[in-house]
Amino acid sequence: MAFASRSSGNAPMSDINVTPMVDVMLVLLVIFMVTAPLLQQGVKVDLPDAQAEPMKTSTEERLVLTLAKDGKAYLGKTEVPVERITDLLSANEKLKIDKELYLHADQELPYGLVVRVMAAAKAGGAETLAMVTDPEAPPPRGAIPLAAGSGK
Amino acid sequence: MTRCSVLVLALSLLAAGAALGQAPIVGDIEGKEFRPFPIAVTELRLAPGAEGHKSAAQQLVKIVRADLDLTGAFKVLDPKSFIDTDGLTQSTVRFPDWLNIGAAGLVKAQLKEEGGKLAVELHGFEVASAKEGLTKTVSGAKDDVRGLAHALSDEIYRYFTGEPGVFRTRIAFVRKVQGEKHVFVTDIDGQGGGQVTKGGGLNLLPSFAPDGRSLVFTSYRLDNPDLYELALGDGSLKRLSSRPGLNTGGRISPDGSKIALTLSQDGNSEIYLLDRGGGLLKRLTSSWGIDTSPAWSPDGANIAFVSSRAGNPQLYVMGSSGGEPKRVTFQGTYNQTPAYSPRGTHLAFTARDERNVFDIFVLDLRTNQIARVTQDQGNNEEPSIAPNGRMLVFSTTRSGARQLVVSNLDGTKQTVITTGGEHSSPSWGPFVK
Repeated sequence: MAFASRSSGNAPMSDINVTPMVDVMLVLLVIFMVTAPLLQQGVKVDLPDAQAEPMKTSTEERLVLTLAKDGKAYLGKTEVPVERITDLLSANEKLKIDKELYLHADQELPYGLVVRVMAAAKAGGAETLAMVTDPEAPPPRGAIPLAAGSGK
Repeated sequence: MTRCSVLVLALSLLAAGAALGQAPIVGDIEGKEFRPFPIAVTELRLAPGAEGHKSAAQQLVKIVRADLDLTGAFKVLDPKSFIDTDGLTQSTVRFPDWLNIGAAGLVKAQLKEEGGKLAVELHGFEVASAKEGLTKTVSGAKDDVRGLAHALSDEIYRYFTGEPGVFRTRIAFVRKVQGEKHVFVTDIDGQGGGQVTKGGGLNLLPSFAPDGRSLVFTSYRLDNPDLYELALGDGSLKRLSSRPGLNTGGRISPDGSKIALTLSQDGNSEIYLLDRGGGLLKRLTSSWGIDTSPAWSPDGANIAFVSSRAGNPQLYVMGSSGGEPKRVTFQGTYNQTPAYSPRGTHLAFTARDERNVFDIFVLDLRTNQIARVTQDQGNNEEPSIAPNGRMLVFSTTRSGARQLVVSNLDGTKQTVITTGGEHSSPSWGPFVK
């Protein structure tokens, strides 16, 4: 008991606190994971009208969610109701295994819809959300329409 | 006792699985290399004229999904992820939609009403090869939706694994009811069925006859542990053996002609052979120790049992007409309740391990290798193997009160099938003929 005053409670802590560093590294890792697919080749973005075929991406291997300008959504090549996207993605087994979703979204889409898709993909276990982009597309002019389907 | 030996067990159990080559699940459905087969089971479509059966359709799908999940061979996919706007047949199913949700197998079906019965037109597909390999209509009575669902599960299981399913077999067990113990019979998912014994106070150790139409069990209704046979059809009860002392652990031989059981009429528990009417045929064991828990090999040639003749309970195997028993367990100091696999190559049993916990193990009689099924989940006892050799039922204390668990053979998929009360002594019944 006589030595109680020498307990470590008052001693200076000499270890480096690595927790913030780990946090930063993890954030950097996630950013790289998300941006890496963006650096790959772009695929044509400008989505066709309702009657036309969706883009020919290799749906056999990749899980591609297409959001067209007219407000329609396609998982692979099949049209799905926009309000079911959250369910479809959050329960999707392929997403749980591949951990990546290719989002093929028209540039004029409402931001809110894209955010909702991203949240659903995350709930479904996606670690990578690949934005399929067209590097040659002209930058959008003027204000972005906020409501789906009002582009035309 | 490693996972490795589980794999060896799984592979060797497959010796007769010739039909498996053509089944979509190639290779074994157990072991460390196996990943459960992802399968999508869609909602039942209602054919014109069957619109009134919506709740039956929902119930059917729910039971089929639960059945397939129970086996551990399938990963039943979440229906929320289904697009399911395509057709029912090979030419109208959009297979990429199902690839996109990670399905390897696909089941679609339509419910019809035919001649006052429910009829389900069943379609089974292999998604990657876009093949429809199962097209069949299964029908059942309107008031037996569970039976129809289990019949559908059997068809699906057989198509995808190449082996018979056990969804229409039944499990007998003992449940505590207001201070008494009674024999119950249930479907393998723990639903349906109910109490089959009435009165008698303690009713213990049920075991199915090979035809599944009756049960033998021990009851204290005349204040002595006597052996009874209960016909499940009309509920009639017949006393088979009421010799002084114990008349317990009765098991009917695979050919249905004899009963092996434990009697203590000669002062010490020994194993005897009775004819089907209860007349004494032969005393099979003779040792100073306790001999009990006989279990017939599927060919009827051998009987496995527990004996303490070496100082503590160990498993032995002897010819079914007696003779010198051969000791088969040498690890541990407490091995009991043997049950044969349907091919006769393995014994499932209960062992007390070095921490005084009871767990389920499987012994390969050809190599003497032992594989562990349960660990760190309370006490697990009294295994009984399903007639297709792919699943086990046993009792467990993992959640407090003793419940029944249905498990695959390597223990990677375990499902508690009962709730509330105290359940014990499960016995997996034979295939329904």
